[in-house]
Amino acid sequence: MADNVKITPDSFKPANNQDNTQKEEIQAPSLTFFQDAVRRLKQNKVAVVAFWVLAVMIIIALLAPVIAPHNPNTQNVNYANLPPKIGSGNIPGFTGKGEVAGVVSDRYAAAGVSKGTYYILGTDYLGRDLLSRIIYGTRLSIFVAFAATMFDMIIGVPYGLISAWRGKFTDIVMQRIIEIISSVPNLIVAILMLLIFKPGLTSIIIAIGFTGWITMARLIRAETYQLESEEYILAAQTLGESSLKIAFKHLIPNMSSVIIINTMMTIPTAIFFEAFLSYIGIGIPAPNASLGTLLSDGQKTFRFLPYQMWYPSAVIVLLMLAFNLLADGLRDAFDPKSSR
Amino acid sequence: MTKYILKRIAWIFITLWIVATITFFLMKLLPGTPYTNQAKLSADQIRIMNDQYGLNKPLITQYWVYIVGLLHGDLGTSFQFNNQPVTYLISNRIGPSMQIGAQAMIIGTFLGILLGAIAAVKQRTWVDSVATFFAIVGRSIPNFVFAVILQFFLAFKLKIFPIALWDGFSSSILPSIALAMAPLADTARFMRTEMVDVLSSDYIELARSKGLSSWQTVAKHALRNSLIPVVTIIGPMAVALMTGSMVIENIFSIPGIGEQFVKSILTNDYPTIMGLTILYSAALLVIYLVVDILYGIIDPRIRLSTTGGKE
Amino acid sequence: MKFSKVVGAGLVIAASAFLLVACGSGSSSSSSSSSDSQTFRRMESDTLQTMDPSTNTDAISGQALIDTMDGFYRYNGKKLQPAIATSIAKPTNDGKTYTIKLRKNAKWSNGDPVTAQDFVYGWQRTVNPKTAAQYAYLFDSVENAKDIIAGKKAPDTLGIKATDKNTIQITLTEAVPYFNGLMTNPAFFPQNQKFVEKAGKNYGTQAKYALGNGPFVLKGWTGTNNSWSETKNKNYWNAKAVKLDKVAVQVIKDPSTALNLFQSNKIDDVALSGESAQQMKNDPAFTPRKQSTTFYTQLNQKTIPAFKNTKIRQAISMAVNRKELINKVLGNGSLIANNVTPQGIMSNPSTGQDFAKAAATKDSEYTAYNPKKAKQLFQEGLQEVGIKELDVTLLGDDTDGGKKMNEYLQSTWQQNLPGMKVTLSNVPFKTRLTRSTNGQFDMVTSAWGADYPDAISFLDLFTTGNSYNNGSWSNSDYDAKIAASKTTDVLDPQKRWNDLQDAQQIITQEQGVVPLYQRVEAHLVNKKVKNLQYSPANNYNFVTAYIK
Repeated sequence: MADNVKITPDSFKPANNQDNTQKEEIQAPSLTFFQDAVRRLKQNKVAVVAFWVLAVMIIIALLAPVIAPHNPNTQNVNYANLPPKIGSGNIPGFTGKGEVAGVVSDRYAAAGVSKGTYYILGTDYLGRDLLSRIIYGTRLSIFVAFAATMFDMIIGVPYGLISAWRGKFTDIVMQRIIEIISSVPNLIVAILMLLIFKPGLTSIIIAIGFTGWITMARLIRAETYQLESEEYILAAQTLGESSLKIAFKHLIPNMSSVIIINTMMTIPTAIFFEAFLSYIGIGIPAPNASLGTLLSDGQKTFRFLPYQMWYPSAVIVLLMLAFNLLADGLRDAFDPKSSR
Repeated sequence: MTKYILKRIAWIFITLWIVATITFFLMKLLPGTPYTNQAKLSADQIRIMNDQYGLNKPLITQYWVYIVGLLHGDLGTSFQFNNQPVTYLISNRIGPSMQIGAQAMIIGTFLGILLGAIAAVKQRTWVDSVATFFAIVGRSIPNFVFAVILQFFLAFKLKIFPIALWDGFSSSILPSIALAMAPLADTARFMRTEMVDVLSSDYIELARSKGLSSWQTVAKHALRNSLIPVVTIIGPMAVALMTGSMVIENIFSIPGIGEQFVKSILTNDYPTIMGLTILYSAALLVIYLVVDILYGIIDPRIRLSTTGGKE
Repeated sequence: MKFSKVVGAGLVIAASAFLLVACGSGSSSSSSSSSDSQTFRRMESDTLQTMDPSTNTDAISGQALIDTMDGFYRYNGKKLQPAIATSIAKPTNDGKTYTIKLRKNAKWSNGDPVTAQDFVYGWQRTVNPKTAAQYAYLFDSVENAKDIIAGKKAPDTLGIKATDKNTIQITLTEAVPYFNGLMTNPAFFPQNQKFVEKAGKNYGTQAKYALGNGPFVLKGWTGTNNSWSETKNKNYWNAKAVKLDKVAVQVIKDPSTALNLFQSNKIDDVALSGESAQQMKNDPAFTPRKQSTTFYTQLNQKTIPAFKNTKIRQAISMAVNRKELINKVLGNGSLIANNVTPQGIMSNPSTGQDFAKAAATKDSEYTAYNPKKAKQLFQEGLQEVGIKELDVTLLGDDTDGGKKMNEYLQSTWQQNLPGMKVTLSNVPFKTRLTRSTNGQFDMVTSAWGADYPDAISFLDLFTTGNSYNNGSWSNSDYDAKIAASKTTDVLDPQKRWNDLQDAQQIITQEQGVVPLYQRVEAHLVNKKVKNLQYSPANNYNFVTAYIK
């Protein structure tokens, strides 16, 4: 990030280069707001790296059936809990050796695994390939995260905007509704969903969505109240712009940092709520895996088979880092205020 | 202002009543009986038991009995712990949860605000990068994973802290740290973002140009103006932390309220579920009110423009 | 610049203060945990729920009641020994009348003598519908008990009388061969009327509202906390036999925390599960505790008519490699269940042979892993029923062990039985029970623990129309054998044994239920703890234990 301190020529351009290019047709081809944002994003090297990491992870997740070396649900209990191994086991950390009852030995030989067969990240308690389960698990978790984000965007943002913009009675009613919804513990909601819709992804997503948007709505409301009194909003109102246009043109762009940061929190919250449900046993139904179930299983065997916890943790950290750094970049690119 | 607060308090009671009603009926949809021994009770025996506990009366009668009890401050008796009043159960177990939650809250928000502020002041330097990295890692790992890592390395291997069990202040440190990770990261991220915005605003530039040192600027102007969104998330966060975390309480064997709640739901201990839900929502509603009042104190503009509108 | 320096200094100070406090208190707490004294530190997986023997239902409260109270008898290991009774009673009047003499020196921990009236009061209180005792059904065979529980008769009509201060006479409606063993359940313990009535609604809700007459006295239980202790009772009639001064109990829910505490010598006895159990198998402290609980799969003939076909049921059983399930998946040293009746709860009256082992010598082929035979039987069965595929949902518990087992079963059935497709549904315990009872399942893995040490505790479940026979398997020969064991042959132990053995053969051959395994709980026990006895009812007896 350090190299971003450099002052680039862009820093001295007028904010509305669109008009400028029209006026003085000397500059490069005209750029829309979006193109400009993309251009600024491209200059942020960290964000670009994060973008590619994320892209690769999503592509791997989407192409899981092609990329995963094994079927994630195929069991072979004779090969259970094998440590990571690559090739003939010469790479440190991937030697296929593990400790059982205090003795370190080659687990692959002990389990009678034929030569040449190896599991890059080892196997789990039923002898399923951990790498494949992580790939499929990432796919499921990304899906849960996106669903939660959708709820945030579709319900949370407009709800907060309307509540603050309309104010008065509307605001009171809408805030009381929020208080009621957020007061019903979402574990009760989750368990009821599991009973009504059968255990599964849909129920979990609905349970997450049911309360997930509340923080977003409250944040947006607070921000809207703050922005309402800004001069440019007053100016827009005086000029007779419609509320909808003000919301899209002025309010939302100015709140983009709050929206993005909160989304970045919604994503892990959603993944963790699913992990928590897995921890108490009512998460994604077996035998399917999510990062949550993998972490909760790995946590239980951490003392003996640490790799079953470290690898899913590493994946989730990488995923979150990429998400966050890209989000930071996006905010810098989109938010007119923070672009310096 | 007083009128506004009184109005809000009235609303709190109405909201509590609605929440109690919703939860009461939702709970009745949970399958199974509240009897611990359900596996070995025949249908006839369950019917006899239901007679004893008044569970075969019409729902509306049960509801009426419950609400009347509630108005007298009586939350009923637990099904899981025979004859144990729910109020006694909650008051006995809430202490440890609140202590750990409060400690986590203090660690989390204090370090979070600090980390966020430093990151913003030292924007786009390695300090910022490191702070961001820690915040994201802290947010990326579920607390049950943190808890086992802390327990294994700091308590089991290095023997700095007790492994588990609820025995004095020292045993509350690891659970508090494990619980503090997520709020710390959230607060830091929010703080940094807000602070960056604030630091670039005109009045900060003005303060700087007037010759205030960067430390004075931050303390006097920037910090206060960055706190609004932070306060919004801190409120519900505090309630969530102080009403207990089942995961942390399980791992560190803490006699708290969080694991009791999960267990009550899974064992259909209706009176305890109700009691805890009402406690949870009451805390949340009060915090929401406090947050709304705090908005006004932190940012005078809000008091002028919005509370006026609300009254 | 200044800002960060101030903050940095603050952080350093805060961190060091933190560590100092932590170190200080850490060292003080470790010194108090030496095990030189006669203190036995153990764990339970959950909190105490009640100390009222009438309303107790769970194993943890049951253990505490057995530690702090004495009934007529007490199990020392597998052996039933007289406790408040002076000898093991022999029934008269065709097995329907028990006359029990009580020892005169028995006292409550507050000094009151334990009298015959205390037993009468305790029993009447348990069956009284106002007490709402969930275990009242254990009294079903006592005269008038069923009517009293249903509210049709007064509690004082119950078939128990105090003929004098130290003699009890019990009248049953039918002979119950295992009645002496049944009476070790806390529901049959005496209760001190004066104390119970004084405590009123609070009885059994806290240590101060509980009164015992057993080897230990409960201390430090507030009704909701996670730790309590049981200290030696000076007023116990057999106090000189008790060697432990104190049993300190701590609730630990997380198995890895339990292991960490054990290995740091903070606790003397922990229960392990899953991977921890497997990894610690060779540890010298590893102690398996065999429990009288069987896990089995019920096949619902109402929702899946194909399960009426015996060959399909047999195929499902033979397709399961129980040894692999136990060693590789559960890893806690559980035993293969060849029959639904577990080992160690009943023995041959003449030869002393174990019931389950005796049955297994004749019928183990139906539970032996035989994928080839299973496949063949399955194909034949499908043809007989006239279907090509079998698509079912397997219902099970959402616990760690339950989930692992069902995942394994799903895969093994799909692999070994072409044409069988299994979907999993893991739900919370109570949901699973409700769905089982209401018949809302295709297949369900469930468990049953013995209420009393006798095979009938299990075999009774699967008679036609029994409310626990959720799969609706029915066989008239089986019903007849069970009926004979309760009526015509009830007084002849050998004939009764043969009836039950025959019934066991029938259900195993037909695979009316598919037995999977008998649970063994893996423990780590400090080597210093000696002579710890474990009863068929899955309870410890601390009377004889000591620390060396």
